[in-house]
Amino acid sequence: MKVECPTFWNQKEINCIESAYKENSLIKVKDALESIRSLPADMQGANINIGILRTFTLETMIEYLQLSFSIIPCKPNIFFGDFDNIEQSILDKDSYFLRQNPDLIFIIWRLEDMHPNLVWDIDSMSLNQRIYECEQLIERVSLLVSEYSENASLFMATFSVPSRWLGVAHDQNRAYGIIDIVSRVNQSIRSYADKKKVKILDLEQWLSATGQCAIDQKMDLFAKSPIASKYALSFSNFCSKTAKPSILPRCKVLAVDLDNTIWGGVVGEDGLEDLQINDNYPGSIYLQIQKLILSLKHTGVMIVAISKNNLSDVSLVFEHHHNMPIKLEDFTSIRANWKEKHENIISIAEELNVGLDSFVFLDDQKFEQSQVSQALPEVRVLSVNSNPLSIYNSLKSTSCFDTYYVVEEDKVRIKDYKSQIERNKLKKEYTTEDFLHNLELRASISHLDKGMVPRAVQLLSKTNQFNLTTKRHNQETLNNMLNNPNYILLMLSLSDKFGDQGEVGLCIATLNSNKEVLIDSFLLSCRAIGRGAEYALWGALIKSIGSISCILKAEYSPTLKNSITEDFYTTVGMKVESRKDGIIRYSMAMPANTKTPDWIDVKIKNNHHYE
Amino acid sequence: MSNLNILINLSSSIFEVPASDIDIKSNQDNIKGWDSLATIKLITELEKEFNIQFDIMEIVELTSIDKVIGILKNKGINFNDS
Repeated sequence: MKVECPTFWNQKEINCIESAYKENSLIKVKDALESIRSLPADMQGANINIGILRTFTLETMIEYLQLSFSIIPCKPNIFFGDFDNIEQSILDKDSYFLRQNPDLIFIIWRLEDMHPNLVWDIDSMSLNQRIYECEQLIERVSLLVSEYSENASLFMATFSVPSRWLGVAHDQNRAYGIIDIVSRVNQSIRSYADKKKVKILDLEQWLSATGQCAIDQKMDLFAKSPIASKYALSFSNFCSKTAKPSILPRCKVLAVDLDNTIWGGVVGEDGLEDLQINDNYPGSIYLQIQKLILSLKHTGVMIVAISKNNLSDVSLVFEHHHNMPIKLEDFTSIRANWKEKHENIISIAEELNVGLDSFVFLDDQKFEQSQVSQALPEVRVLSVNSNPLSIYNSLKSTSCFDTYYVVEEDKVRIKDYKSQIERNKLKKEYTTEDFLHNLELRASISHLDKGMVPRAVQLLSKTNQFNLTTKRHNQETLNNMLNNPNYILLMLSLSDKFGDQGEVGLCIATLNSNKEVLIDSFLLSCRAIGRGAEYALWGALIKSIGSISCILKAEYSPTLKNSITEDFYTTVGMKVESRKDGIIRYSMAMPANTKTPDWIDVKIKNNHHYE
Repeated sequence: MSNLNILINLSSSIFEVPASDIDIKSNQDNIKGWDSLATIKLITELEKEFNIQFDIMEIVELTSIDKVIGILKNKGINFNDS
């Protein structure tokens, strides 16, 4: 089961909670509760009194319920009314139940508890009798709804068909049979929800999702405790998800990455035609992801795009791709640039004048997820991997955008949680360097060997963004360079704690007879951008040239896509020699010193040396 | 962890008494937290932990740690090494 914890909680608590959900045992659930209660009070959320009225035993699940509500987050105080005392508890304004000041009230009932005679004897009843019994049940619902006058939100459970009647042919085919009565009573509950008199706790939906294995027949008979222990967390999560919009404000903004998040592929490298968004797998999933995002937009969520890309590439996709359900105008705001994503989120938050805690961030890369959640703990970061199904499922199941009513703003909030948390306490001094230090980056740079040639050719032909000269050498040219001792050919491999990115950088330089070393190519695959790996590769180049005295020469040759590299040679200390037609030529006297970023553990293997 | 330790830790968590207060002689009368709700929790948590099912006749016998061990042994859970 997927857990959604507050992103600003520490990893220690989150691990403890995840282990409780994984092991699904009382001991682990209690451990998780203890670790949550050790957090500073303001991180735990507001106090919420939750009163539960029920026709069967739920007390045995109290710790599970506490955990599910705590991770909203809130500090739940859960109490139960007496068995089968639903009307007495909420229609009597002076009842013991109401005197405990519930903020939320759940009514959880079953037909077999409320009306066992109907469930067991229905076959002996005439049609008129069955109609009468059904009307009595509906009357009971409407009495509760019309007489209830407290301020607390009232959640009313829908009924499920008792297992005795599942699949019974003669009941399926009659009016006012058990199955029909259940659906009529539920219909009346739903109509009160539509009139905003109650809110639905849709246990019928829950049970149809889990199936009958969620019912423990033996414990139902022994102790009227029908929810199977293995499904205790599933049940309690369903209750807390239902209540969440009345405890926490809904998130307003979905910030999405583009490449490999809402379409398959990288527009800057694969080009427009090869993007996966169509009726074939996996393009079909990206199609569904886009439709899901659009449906969120129709419920009032603002969609913004944050992509490390050139704006012109992004515009091109939306203008010319025919299969794209999302159009450019569906985005409230777009940031297609090379800044850090958290900087872009801050700038959008200022632009839209919404708090950072209203943001949900969706990106296929763990690297970006991790950086945003470290820099901006308020932002809810969806935990997904690069599999598009995980992106789809995470977006589908998140409760961040849940709301009871789509048209109107949900005006009544029990407690304004937002004002209770001192946001400043969460703000840590944070720099990109801190984040990069945490990534445990490892770079391995080696002189090209024959086996690496195909990958080098691929990098040369596909890399458009971080590519200073965009020279598309073929395999033969590279093989010739390999056999020429004047050439330095360096391949960079990168990995971090999230995984191995493989061979992602290439540098080609050559020594000519004028004692000049010319940089022919210097490039970095887009998935390695933003980690400082280019400086590791640069450092390796300087080391490879060694102590011979010479002039190092380089040029930046602009394309539509490589503006990100325009200043690169300046940042490593080269001097501009000339500018002509956009081409900038640089030089630098060698030997020179160079600094590699201290957040990357660099290893240089089988190094090249000029004699 | 031995199965006896698992049982004791589980009981300690459910009855809300220190693990050191629980031994083979503990029963519904001398452990304050061992009420009917605790019995339900004990049944369902043991079923999950040892991946077993008690039948109704066994359930009513679960009134002391000694008897719990006896029934678990009948179900093939090993308590010999403790």
